[in-house]
Order: sequence, then structure tokens, then C-alpha cells
Amino acid sequence: MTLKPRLTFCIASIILGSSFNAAIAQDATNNASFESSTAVLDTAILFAIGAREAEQAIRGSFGWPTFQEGFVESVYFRFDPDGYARFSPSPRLDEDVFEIQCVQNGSACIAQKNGVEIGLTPEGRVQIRFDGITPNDNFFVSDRKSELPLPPTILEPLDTRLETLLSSSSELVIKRELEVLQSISLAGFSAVTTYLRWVAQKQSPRVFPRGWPVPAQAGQSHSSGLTQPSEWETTTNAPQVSNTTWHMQSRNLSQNQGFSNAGPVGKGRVNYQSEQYGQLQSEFQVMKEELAALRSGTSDQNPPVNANQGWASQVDHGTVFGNEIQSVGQHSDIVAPNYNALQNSNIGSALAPHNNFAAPFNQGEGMDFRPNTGIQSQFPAQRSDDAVLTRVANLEAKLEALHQLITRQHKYSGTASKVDQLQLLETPETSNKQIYTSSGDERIKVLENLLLQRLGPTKPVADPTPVMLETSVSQDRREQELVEEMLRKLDFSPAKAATTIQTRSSNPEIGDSSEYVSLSDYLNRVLKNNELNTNN
Amino acid sequence: MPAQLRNIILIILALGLLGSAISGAIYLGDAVGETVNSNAVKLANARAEKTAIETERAANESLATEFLKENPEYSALASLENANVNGFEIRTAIENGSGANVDMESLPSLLRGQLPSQSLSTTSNAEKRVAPPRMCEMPEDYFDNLERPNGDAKLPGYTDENGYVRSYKPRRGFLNEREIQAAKVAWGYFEQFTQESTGLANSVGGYPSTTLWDTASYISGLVAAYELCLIEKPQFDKRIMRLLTTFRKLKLFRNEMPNKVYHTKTAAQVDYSNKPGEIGYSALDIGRFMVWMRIIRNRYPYLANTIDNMLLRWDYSNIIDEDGVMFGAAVDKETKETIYAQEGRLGYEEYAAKGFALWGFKPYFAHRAEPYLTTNILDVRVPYDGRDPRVFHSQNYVVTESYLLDGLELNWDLLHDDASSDTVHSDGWRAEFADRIYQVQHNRFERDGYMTARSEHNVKGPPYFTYDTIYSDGYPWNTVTPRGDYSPDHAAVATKAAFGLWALWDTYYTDILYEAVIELFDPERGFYEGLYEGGTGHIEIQTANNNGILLASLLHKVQGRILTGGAGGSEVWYTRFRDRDVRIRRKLPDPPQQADWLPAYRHPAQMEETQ
Repeated sequence: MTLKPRLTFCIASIILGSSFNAAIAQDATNNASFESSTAVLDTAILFAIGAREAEQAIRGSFGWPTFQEGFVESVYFRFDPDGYARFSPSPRLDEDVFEIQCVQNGSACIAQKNGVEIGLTPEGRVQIRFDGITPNDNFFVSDRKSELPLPPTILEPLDTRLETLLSSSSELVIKRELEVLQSISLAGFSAVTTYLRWVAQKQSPRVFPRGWPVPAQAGQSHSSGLTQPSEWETTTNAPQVSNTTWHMQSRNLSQNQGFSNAGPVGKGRVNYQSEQYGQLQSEFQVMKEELAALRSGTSDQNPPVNANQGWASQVDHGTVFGNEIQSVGQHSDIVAPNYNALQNSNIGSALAPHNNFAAPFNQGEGMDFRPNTGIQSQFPAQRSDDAVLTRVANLEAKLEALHQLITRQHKYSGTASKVDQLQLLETPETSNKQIYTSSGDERIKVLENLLLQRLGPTKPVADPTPVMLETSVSQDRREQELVEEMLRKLDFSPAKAATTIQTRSSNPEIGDSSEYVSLSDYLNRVLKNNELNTNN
Repeated sequence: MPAQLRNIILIILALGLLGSAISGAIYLGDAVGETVNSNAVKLANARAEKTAIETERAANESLATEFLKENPEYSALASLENANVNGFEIRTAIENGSGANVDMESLPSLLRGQLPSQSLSTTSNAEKRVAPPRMCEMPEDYFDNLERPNGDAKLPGYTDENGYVRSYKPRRGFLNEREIQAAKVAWGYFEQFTQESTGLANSVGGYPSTTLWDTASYISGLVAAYELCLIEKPQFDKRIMRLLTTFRKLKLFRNEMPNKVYHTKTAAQVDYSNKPGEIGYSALDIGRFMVWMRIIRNRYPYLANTIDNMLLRWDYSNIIDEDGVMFGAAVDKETKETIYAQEGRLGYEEYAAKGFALWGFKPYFAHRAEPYLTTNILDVRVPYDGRDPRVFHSQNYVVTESYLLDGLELNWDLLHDDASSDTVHSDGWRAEFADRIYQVQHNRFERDGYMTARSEHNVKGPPYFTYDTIYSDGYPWNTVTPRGDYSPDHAAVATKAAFGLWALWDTYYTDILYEAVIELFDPERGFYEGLYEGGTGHIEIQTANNNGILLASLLHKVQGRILTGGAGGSEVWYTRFRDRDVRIRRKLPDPPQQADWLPAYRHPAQMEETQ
């Protein structure tokens, strides 16, 4: 009589218990929504004077315990250790907001505002993307009284002048024919671009432009363990970026091109190698561009050296390998921007005030934070008639740096094909021998050939623009033309070049280039030697 | 037979009888002697025992006499003259009313623990509130016989005892099919995300971490699932025992109180990134947890010992000070020392304070509304904490949740109130403030068209969490992130707030809220966190807090106030460690007496303020 209920109870208990076990044992079936991301910023390191680290009011079980808030460049800002930030003229950060999200553990940060996305290229240049525009749309900057048309290059990585122009303007206006398609406030543009570089540079104060309210160094070293990025792995969702609006991201991640903070936050060796290789490619591209700039300097356009001066103020763009690459990164911007369009659009006068912005930028006290690269010495005050020689020396130094990087690449070339390795590792002794046994134009040709042989044709930068520009010439073809142009340039008379460029500022000293030597410095040095040989 | 032979036979028989008689006599003598000896020993022992008892009693009487000489105010405790260490006489005396005004501070520590806690039912001989039957055990006419809300026709407003009668009534009745389905789906969250190794449930979906606040929400879900007959006792017992066993062995923050966050798979202390580490404790979280510990202790007395011993491990010396201020703990970033800081703002602070008061603590300051201010939003004087965030660096968010929890679990009653009608809320100002919180959201719907049920909630993607407030930082309807960014895009109808409002305010507006959220779920993972105000869909996150409060709301519809009266009598919580200094070091409380009850306050009511 009593056995039956007990047996029933036991069976029921077993069944319930087993179902409980089965149910209770299930862990997250969809943990993907809570992937961990790593802190990339120490909120104890101040972004600007007056900023402060504060604690977040966390009620739940996860989140970032601290953040930093402050006011700089007329905007208020707050950011979390994972790089998520907001910049706004309103103290509530509720109006006219630049919102910045970082993906891939901070290796790529994107600022967004009203359909506009701002990021950094691997070279550290600012690039803007617009949603829903067509090739026929025109861009203007506005100071609320007048409008200045912008060149189509706004859809490409920005040069310094264009970036400065945007930083000093109130609004960016997009027009389709005569209709205003969109008007975007540029409040906070300068602070945001500085922030993007600051994150990419692991909070290095060297990225701060001149005039930036640089916080005290003491405070920066006074960071606590609580905010040490290495200690953290957030429990929060990885930032969600819609594929439709962020189609560029995947390309960046796969090709290491386009928007990407080049900071090696991810410590994976493969990433490191790919980033290095990307940097090498970029550097080579820069060198070619610099050679092109040298050539274009003979024209009546804005002297490229002036452009160079301007870019010289933009320090530490998108660097990866520390100071070595920082110098390269600086030179990566030494591209003679095609401002014909600007001038033809009668905005030359508007740009004029900005043309000389580099001079004060480079004469200030802010230089304390920067490595003593050749860039710093390219001041107008230090002009020299020996400009060509100096630039050749600089290019030569750059080549040396490139060689060092290639050697390093070899060390990490676990994933590279043997063919690539062989190409990359073609005996430097032979190369150097060829270089130093040559003279004059031959030396330059040797250098070019060596570079092409080692790296092959530079990979085209993935089309960074959402719309096709009128210049639909492939990147390969353009680069090939550039190389040909450089080769033609190498045939020019150094003496003529010296007289042409003598009005430009130059870098009379290489100074401490052993540590921060760059490829362009190396080539400059070669050119200098070439000129000396020719004069002799 | 010759005569001689017959005589010989008779002689032999006579000798045999004589021998037997002698043998029997000898045996009988031995037996009697042994018995006599045994009785003598027993008698001696009994005398010794009696002497010992008399000596002990004399000592006790001497002790009691000395005590009464030193404390003549206790002469009313006549039975103390016969007191012994088990204290039954003391209890009897107090239960008879002779010790109603016992000064606990003056009683010897050994005697205090056995005093029973005093509540309204013990002091007024009113009928104690008992746990209602489970929904599946309720007779069909259960609600017909139930006291009708506002049936006593008391007018809305404050009572003479500073209680409050609301003009709204809660929903009561059996769950319908949709609500049963909602309960099952909400319980599904805990079936999906409870860790077998520890019995802890994840706070947010599959992420294996939790807080005490969210664990309390899990317990509320567990109790509701059992009382609503979604699970049976074997499963309930297995789950609750596993959880309590984990807590019994839980590593505490610096041997003091539970850490703010624990890993649900290992029950290890973790930081906000779920990595091993200690970050301090939250008085608010612990307060809510203690509310639910008292609820299950009262409802299920067989768990009392486990719960008492678990809570006795904690050190309460820093979490509440002598003024009744609650303190949270954190770790100093530089020195790594423990920092204690006042914790709690209007709404949450009083709710958590009640959790401590349920266990005999005296959070007088934390339970007071002051300092508070009000601001006029849509003709409602919305109360908010008066401590300036710029000075105190702590935001004064006004959200629905804390008022809801107080109403669902405690009926906005004071803790000693285990007898009054549910229609009279003895913690009057809490109910009156809660009505304002409801009314302002109702008004917003009527005037601006925004369906509003605001609370703190998680969001998917940055900033991951928002305080979706009625008022904060000087702004109405302010949605802010934990770091203070205004984030209006994350404003939402919080599912838990909608269900709570629906359960406690039976109005057409909460019917609309109900329709908005009743099917807002993933059948496999539970209810979504909410519905965005801006029309961008639902918040694709499931949490323990949301689903737990939802289940508590449904349970309230069936059973009313969730906290029931206790079983009475002595509690291990109050009696253990009486012979050691542990209670003093950990500031463990004594059984609350009438003099210890939290007072009932009255604040200017909404109508008075607006006049």
C-alpha cells in the first residue's frame, strides 16, 4: 500500500531531477552577443588638461568601472576604456554628437555623426565616408556666412590642408546640383581626429597638435591598476556596427586597408605581420609619392615643400612600430595634394591662411613630445639652398629604415610564402653594393629597381570611397605612371633642380637619423650624394 | 509395601524438600541483596543530581536576583525569579505582555537571543498574515472569499497611524492563459541560464556572472514558479538548496560581505569584466537579497536553519552604522584598501533598508525619505533625492523599479506589520510616492502619447546599460548612461516596469502596457528587456532581473503581498554565537522589539503639495 506512492515519488523525483539537470546545465547558447572586447585605453591618462577620470554608476554585473570626461577644442567629451567616446558641444553630450566606436579591440575606431563616418587609414590619414551620395554631389565647407567648394579629394584620405580646413569650418555641406542634400556640423572634428590618432597611438601625447592643452605628464604616469587596459576584458557586447553602414570595415580587416587605426592593439603575430607588410607597402607608396612631389615641385603650383611643411606638423599619424614608423608616417603625408581644383574654384585665397599653418605648428613648444626626426628640422627658418641634397639624404635614410623593416618582416614571416620571403630578402649586401657603387642618377635608378624588386608593385589602396570618382583609373596604373614619372624625374639635371627648389625649405640636417631614419631620408641622402658627384 | 521402606522414602523426600528449600532461600537472598544494593546506588545518584540541580537553580536565582537588584525596571518579569538558562520563562513572560518594553541593551547577551521578535500580530493579538496556497491548490472561489481591495471603504489618503490608503487597487485573481504562458516563458530564462555547478543564474543571457540583486531576482522567479505551479517541490528544493549551499561556502569580500559580482559557473569573486578579483560590495544589492531571504524563510520554515547560518557568516560591522546609514564598499585604486561610502538614493535606499530591517537591523536613516525634493512634471510632484550629484558624485535617478519591488514584495508596509489589511500600507509615504511615480507616467501617456514604463535596463551594444529615468540631473524623462551621457535613443518601455505597474495599478493605462509587453519574448530565452520608445523595436536582451520581476508581478496577482508572516519563535539567526564575541564583532542584531520598529512617517501628500 505504501510502496506504490513512494515508488511514484522516487520516479517523479528522478525525472524532475534529471530534467532539472538537463535544463540547468545549459549554458549560453548564444554567447556571441556577449563577446569580450579588450580595454584599449587607460582612463587615468588624460586626453586634455582639465579632464578627469570618474567612476561609472554600474548597477549590473558588468561594464566599465571608469571613464574620462573633459572639455577640449570647444567640445565636451567622455570615453570608456574600450574607446567608445562621445564628443559634443553640449555638456549633456546630447546634441551634435560625434560618437566613436572601436572594433577589433580598438584597432579600428570610427567616428559617426549624421551618416558621416570618420576613420584613419593605415597611414594615419583621416578619411571621411558619406552615406547616400553620388559622384555628382558637391561638397562645401561653410562658416555660416559663406561657402567654399571642396575638391573631390575629400572622398579620399585627407591631406593636411583639407583636414585643417574642415577643422576650422563650422559645417560641411553636401549639395546635389543646387539642392542642399545634407549639412553636417563639424563641431568637434579636430578633437575627434586627434582622439582617433591618440587611440591608435596608445595614448601617446605626441599626436596632440600644436596648441592642444596637453595634460601634465605626471598625471599620466599616475595610473592605477584598475584602469590598466591589460587587466581588462570587458564583458560587454562587442560594439555592433551594421554591415550596411560599415561595409568598409570588413575590407579593412581583411586587407588592412581603408579605415584602420594601425595601432597593434591586437598582439597576434599574424596581425602583426600583416600590419607590418601593409606598412611597408604604404611606405613604399609614400616614397614614390615623395619622389613625385619632388618632381612636381618644378611646376608653378604650390611648392611641395610647403606642403611638406604643412604635413610636418601632423605628427605620428597611424604608426605601428613606434618611432621608426612615426617618422615614416609623417612622411606618408608628404603628398603634394592636387589643389588645382581648389585654386580653380577660387578658394585659393581661403586656403591661403592655412597654407602657412605649418610654420607656427613646427616652431612651438609642442615639439618636446616628438622624436627628433628629420621632419622637425624642415622648418622654413632653416632653409638651405641645398634642398635637393637634403631630400635625397632623407630618402636615403628612409630606404635604410625600410631595409630594417624588411629584415624584421623576415623574422616574423611565418605566414609569408617562400617566394615572397626570397623577394623580400634579396641580399641587402648586393643591394647596398649596387647603391653605393653607383652614382648620380644611376643610384636613384638602382634604388627604384631595388624597391620594386623587393616589394613588387604597390597594392592599390582599397577604394576608400563609397562612390566611384571620376578618376576611375586603376590604382595599379596610376602607380605605374608614378614610377615612370619618378624614373623620368631621375633624369633631370640636379643643378636645375637645385636652382628651382632653392626657395623651398629643406632639411639641412639628418640628425639622429640612425634611430628614426626613414626611407625618404635615405633617398634624399642618395640624391645628395648624386648631386655632389655631379658637381664634381 | 513394608512400613520401613515407606518411612525411608518419606525421609528421602523430606530431605529433598529441605534441600530445595535451603537452595531457594539462598538464591532469593542473593537476588534481594543485589536489588537492594542497586537501589542504593540509584538513590545516591539521584540525591547527587538533585543537589546539583538545586545548586544550579540557586545560582540562577542568585544571578536573576542580582540582575533584578541592578535593574529594578525589570521587576515586571516575575518569572525571572525562576529563570534558567533556556529562557522559556522569559519568553512566556514577554508573550504574556509583561515584557513589552524590554530594553534589549540592558539584557545580558545570553538572554537576548531567545526573546522572540515582536511584530504587529504579537503585540496586538491580530491575526497573522499567512502564506496563501499555491495557485493550483486554491479553490475556485478563492478570490470570491478574499478580502476585497478597498472593501473596508477607507478613504484614500493617510491614516492616523501614518499608513496610506491608495486610490488605486492592485489586480488580483487567477492567471489567464496568456499570463500563464508569460510565466512559463519567463521561467524559461532561468531554466536556460542557471548553472548546475553553483545553482546561480546568469544576470544577462549567456554571460556567466551575477550580482546579489540579480540573484534575488532569480529567487523571486523561483518562488513564483513554485507558487504558480510551474515547478514542483522536488525541483524547487533542489534549486534552492543548491543555491543556498553555494552561498554557505561563498568567498566573501575581505571576509566581510559578498562581493559585488560572482562568476556563476565557479561562484568565484570577479570584477566587472568577470575576471577573478574583488571590487567591493553593494548595500543595495545585499538589501534586496535579504528581503528575499526573509521571504523564503517565512514561507518555507524548513529552510530557516540553512538561511540563518548562511547569513551568520557575514560581517555587518561596516554596512550599517549606528545611525542607520547604509554603506557600500569599494577598493581604493591606489592603496587597495577598502573604502566605505554611503550608498543609496531615494527609492532604492529605502527598499534596501527594509531588507536589513527584516533581519533585525535598524536602518533608521536609510529608511527616511529625507533629504528629498520634488519637481513638478505634468502636474505631479515627483520626489527625488535631495543630495546634489555634483557634491556627492552619485546620481539621483528616479525610476519605477524600487517602488515596484517595495509594493510587490512588501506591500509598502513596515516590516513589523504582519497583520494589517493589504489595502492599508503602513509605510505610508512609500505608497504615496509610488502613486506619484505611476501617475506621472500615466499623465505622460495621456498628454504626450508616449507609452511610458521607465526603469533601468540593459541595452544591446554601447552603452550596454541605461538609466531610463522619470527624472534625473535636473531633466524630466532623462535617459542616461552609467557615465552620464544623455541617450534618448535608448528610452524604452521596460518590460519589468510595465508588468509591475500592471500588477499594482489596475487601470486602462496599464492594460495598454500589458498588451505592449505580454508577447514581447523569445520562447526559448525569456522576455526581452523592453520596447524602444522611438519605435525601433525591442531590446534584444534577456536578463534575470527582468524575468524575475515579471514572475513576481504575476505572483502578486495571485497571492498579493509576497512577504508573509514568519513562523515565530526563536531563530538561529538571533541565538547563535551568544556565548562568543562573534555577534559583537559582526554587529549581529537582537530580535527586534516594538521599540526597534521603523517609524511610520508622513510627508506632504501630492494634493497638499500642489495646493
